[in-house]
Amino acid sequence: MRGRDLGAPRRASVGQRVKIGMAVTLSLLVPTSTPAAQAFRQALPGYRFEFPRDHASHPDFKTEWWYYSGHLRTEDGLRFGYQLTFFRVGVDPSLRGDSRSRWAVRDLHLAHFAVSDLQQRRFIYWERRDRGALGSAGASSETLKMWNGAWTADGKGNTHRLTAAAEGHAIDLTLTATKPPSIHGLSGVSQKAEGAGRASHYYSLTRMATEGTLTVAGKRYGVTGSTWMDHEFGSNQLTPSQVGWDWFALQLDDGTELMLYQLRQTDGSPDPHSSGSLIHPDGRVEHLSLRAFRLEPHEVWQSPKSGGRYPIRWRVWLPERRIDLIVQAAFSDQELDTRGSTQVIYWEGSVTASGTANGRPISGVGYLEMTGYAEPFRQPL
Amino acid sequence: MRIWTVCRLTLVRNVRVNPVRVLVTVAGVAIGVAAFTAVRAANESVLRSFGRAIDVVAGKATLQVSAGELGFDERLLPAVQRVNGVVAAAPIIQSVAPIAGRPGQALLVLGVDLFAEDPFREYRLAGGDRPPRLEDLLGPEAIFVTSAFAGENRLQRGSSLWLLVGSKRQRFVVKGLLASQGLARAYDGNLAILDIATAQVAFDKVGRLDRIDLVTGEQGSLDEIRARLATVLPSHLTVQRPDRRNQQVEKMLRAFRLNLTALSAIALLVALFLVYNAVSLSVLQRRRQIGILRSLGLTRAGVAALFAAEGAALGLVGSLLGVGGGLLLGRALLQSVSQTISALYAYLRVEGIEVAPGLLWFALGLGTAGALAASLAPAYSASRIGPKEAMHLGSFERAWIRRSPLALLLGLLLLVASFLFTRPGPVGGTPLFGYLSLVCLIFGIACFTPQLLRWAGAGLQALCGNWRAPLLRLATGNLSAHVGRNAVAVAAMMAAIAMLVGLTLMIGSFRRTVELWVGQTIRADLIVSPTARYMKGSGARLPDTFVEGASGIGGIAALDPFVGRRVELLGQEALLASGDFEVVARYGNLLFRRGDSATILRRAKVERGVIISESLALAGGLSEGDRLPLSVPSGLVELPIAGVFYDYATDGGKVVMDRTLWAQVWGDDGADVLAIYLAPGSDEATVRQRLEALAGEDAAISFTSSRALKAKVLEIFDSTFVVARALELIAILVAVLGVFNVLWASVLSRRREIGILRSVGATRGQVARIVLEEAGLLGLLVEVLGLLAGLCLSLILIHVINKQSFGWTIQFQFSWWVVIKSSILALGAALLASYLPARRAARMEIPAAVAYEG
Repeated sequence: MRGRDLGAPRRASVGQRVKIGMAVTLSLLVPTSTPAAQAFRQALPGYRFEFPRDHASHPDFKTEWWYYSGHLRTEDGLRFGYQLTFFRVGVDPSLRGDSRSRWAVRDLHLAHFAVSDLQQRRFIYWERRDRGALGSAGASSETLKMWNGAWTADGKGNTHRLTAAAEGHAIDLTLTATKPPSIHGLSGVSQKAEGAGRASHYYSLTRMATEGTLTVAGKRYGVTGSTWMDHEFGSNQLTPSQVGWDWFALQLDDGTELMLYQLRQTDGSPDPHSSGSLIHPDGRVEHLSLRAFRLEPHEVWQSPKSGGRYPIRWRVWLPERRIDLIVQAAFSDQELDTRGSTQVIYWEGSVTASGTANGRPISGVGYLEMTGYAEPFRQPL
Repeated sequence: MRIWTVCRLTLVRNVRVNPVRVLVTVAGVAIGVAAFTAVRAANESVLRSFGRAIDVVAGKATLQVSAGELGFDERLLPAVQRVNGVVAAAPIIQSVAPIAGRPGQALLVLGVDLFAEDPFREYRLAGGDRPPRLEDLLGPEAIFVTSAFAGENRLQRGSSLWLLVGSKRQRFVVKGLLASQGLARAYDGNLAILDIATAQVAFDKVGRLDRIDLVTGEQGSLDEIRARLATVLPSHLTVQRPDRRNQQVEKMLRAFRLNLTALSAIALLVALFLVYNAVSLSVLQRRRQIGILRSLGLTRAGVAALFAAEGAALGLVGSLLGVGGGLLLGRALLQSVSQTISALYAYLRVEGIEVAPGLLWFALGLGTAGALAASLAPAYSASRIGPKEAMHLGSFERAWIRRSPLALLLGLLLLVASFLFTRPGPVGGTPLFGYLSLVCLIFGIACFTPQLLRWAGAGLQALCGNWRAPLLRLATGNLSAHVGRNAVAVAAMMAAIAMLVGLTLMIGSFRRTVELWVGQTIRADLIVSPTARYMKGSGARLPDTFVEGASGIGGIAALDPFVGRRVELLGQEALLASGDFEVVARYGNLLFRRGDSATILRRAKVERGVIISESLALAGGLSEGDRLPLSVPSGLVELPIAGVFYDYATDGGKVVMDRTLWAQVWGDDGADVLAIYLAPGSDEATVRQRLEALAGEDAAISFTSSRALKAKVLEIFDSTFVVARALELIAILVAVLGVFNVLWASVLSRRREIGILRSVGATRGQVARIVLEEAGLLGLLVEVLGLLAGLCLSLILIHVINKQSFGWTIQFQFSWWVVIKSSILALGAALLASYLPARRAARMEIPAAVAYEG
């Protein structure tokens, strides 16, 4: 459960000039209750995942994303985080009508690519948007195959190959899943709010052995590491009363992984539908409801660019499972401020975790995503 | 002697003593400089506005792929995107769409993929407007207009906007207003943005693109990237830097602009004659003063400087006024110039007059320096006046008389030079030598005036003696006695009359040629075209269903479907067109340089050849029997040239092929326009009604009878010469001022003589008559010389300047009307200019006049 389609996208304040193309991208990702949304299939309980079929695209749902984030280490011991995401957003079919133009939009394809240099504490990101008119972007509905310009993800069996390049930075990675897909939520749906269809279908490949090359500022490194992959699709999962969210994906060194999200509401309290999963070393998935975990912000960092105040140190506490962790940003400034373009401001970056599990010390790495901190949320008209 | 004291005593005093002359001269310079400034300012504004529009529409693109108005298959885009060095590629649909119900108003419509536009252009919504939603952008009628356009047309979000798109009226809905910055300021805000999918459907370009804009990276130089692109693109596509289009427009308009500039330069030239004249008069009048100054120790150089300064001062003040006036006049011209360009060359909307300060300084400098240069000769002659000679009047005139045969010789030499300059071809597309020839002609004939004045004076005086007409004899005596004073005025007026005669004859011949051409070539009874086509760049076509349906309508003998696309050919913009050669051979007619229309057209059809326009033949050095290289989707072909035809519709050149060849080459068998030939005995109105019914109610299709079309061609023709005619009037105005100056000075300097005449019994009326007669004689001489010079001028304009600039053959056509018109003007102007001087002469008090020691 990640991505831009929660509250984060927002209009510029009144009086400020708005760039058209970008604003349009935003409105795509904003929850709508127009009949347009009804044109798409809803994420309803009882969905039965089937692999490899469900790795591929589901064009009958409105929004879908494949989200890769991971940690890499060069032969010399340099450490990097990376993120590569492919989004697909279906467009109301009535808009294109029976247009004969190849440019009539069926899906809009977005992609984000970011690299965190953990030594230099430098964070850099790029984005792409493409309507995929002449095959320049797309997502196969047969196999796991997404592309947006020259950024690609291609899956065969348990192995995924990722390539992306931008301004002297590039990845060419081969990922091998070491656990079966972990399906989140109950009865095949990850509920996001009260109401039928306010949900998504969501699974993860929580631990993928990673190797390949990473190019940073023109310098190429051989790297190995570990990646987390999320794939989520749904049509209308959010409500306007949700102001933002905090999402954790942690790979712990005892062979377990932890995925937790909390949806924050207007009054500051978490939505009761916030939940998570604990994935055991054998791949067994345990659903965690909001009651099972607590997320306490401990240290706040204020972005000099956006003025947003982000908690960059959290206590992640699962009392019943006797897991108690401190999750700390690898460095503070991993904020994506795209007000110049997509007008989304969010924090997404590499974190480390340390603490105890069942009384024994434990540590790990992960990715944390926080939205809705930079500006007061305003529902687009 | 302190220089300031000298100046105060001479220059400043001159203003008080001769306020009229100073005023008139300054006004003349001001008008000349204003005309020059106005034309340059209007031209410069047009080009700047064009350049900026092209710039902002291109945005950050470093290269553009296009095939002119032909467009190309959109499936080329991925191949372009894959080329090494291409960082971003944006597909563009571009068209000009007239606004329904607002004749003359249009929008430049850009169909873009907004999701791919970030690297290229910025689209910002006007402040306070809410961001559009996806349906706002992608809806089938969604359009974004500039806030400036919306303000003028009272549009807001949600308003309907009806445009003439293709051959129908189409409704769009305004979904947002673009803030007035960057792109939105191009074409004075007459610009709209659509999603590319909407644009493809609306403009009937599904599957096609007009342009691909590229942002390139560091992987090689632009030329290397261009070369790589060329390997993946068919050869009829060009890959150019965006400013190349700018250069193309500049090239296309060069001849048009140069013509106007040259005309305005004549106005300036006439003004400089005026300065020469004024300073000469001043020297003449102040001989005594010069003598005194010289006796007091002022050097020759000092005297020369004094008069040169007078000329420069007149020039400076006149130029200052002229530059200011020129900006105002330029604003008025701009409308006319931009309308002409929109009708003939390319869609244009100009924001207003805008000039580089450099131009204003240049005009100021030109006027002042010109005036200084014009006063050098009189200043020099003033410096030759010794203290003693100064007391003898007439030595100045004697010098002129002595030099007049020399001037005659110089004039002859200039005429020979003028003739020789008509021989060489154009330099870089402009008839440089042609303009030199014009200048030599004017100066050459100007050099004749002193000697001619002497001869005319002597001859007339002899005649008058026989006729016993003492008053006329006095007038003619003045003519030859004051050669120096009169010659310059005659020359100035002659130049103006020559310009009038030359332009009138040229325009008249041109118009007559076009009229004949129209009469012989427009044979179709009815022309059916999308209304939108009156705007350059609309690319509008008739619907295929209409074309098919029309051929089944009763009363029609034949249909000629015409297709025309502007493309780049032989390095210039040209129209690539097709028609049904069999129909044209049988029913129509084209005027070929050599050979019979029907024979050539049939041969072209059989041999799969083309016919080309005269201007293209001249520009490309092509003639009948040569092969025209043409890049088409299947590669480079060389098509035989079956004939070269006269065409006055465009100066960019035209290539026409039969429609079967066109369909094979471009895969297109539609029609932009239909020329309809009626069956014998069928009624135009009935056929028209049937066609209108076929078109349907929403159609924006115009039906033009051949008569109306012919009238329209001539109407466009006339509108393009409005500015030329205005400049012509300005030159005459300046010349009238010159004659006025001379006569005024003449009256002043002859006060004593007039006083004596009055005291020996001449009436006031008789005195006035002498002045009027002198003016009339000057006018007559001006007319004779002006007519002669004008005739030569028109021949140079027709056979050298127009031919080399535009490639048009114009049949010279003499008209007596021009003789009548110019005679009335020359004599009328001279008499008009003499009215005040004559009145002044008549009102002189005898004692004061006799006492005057001029």
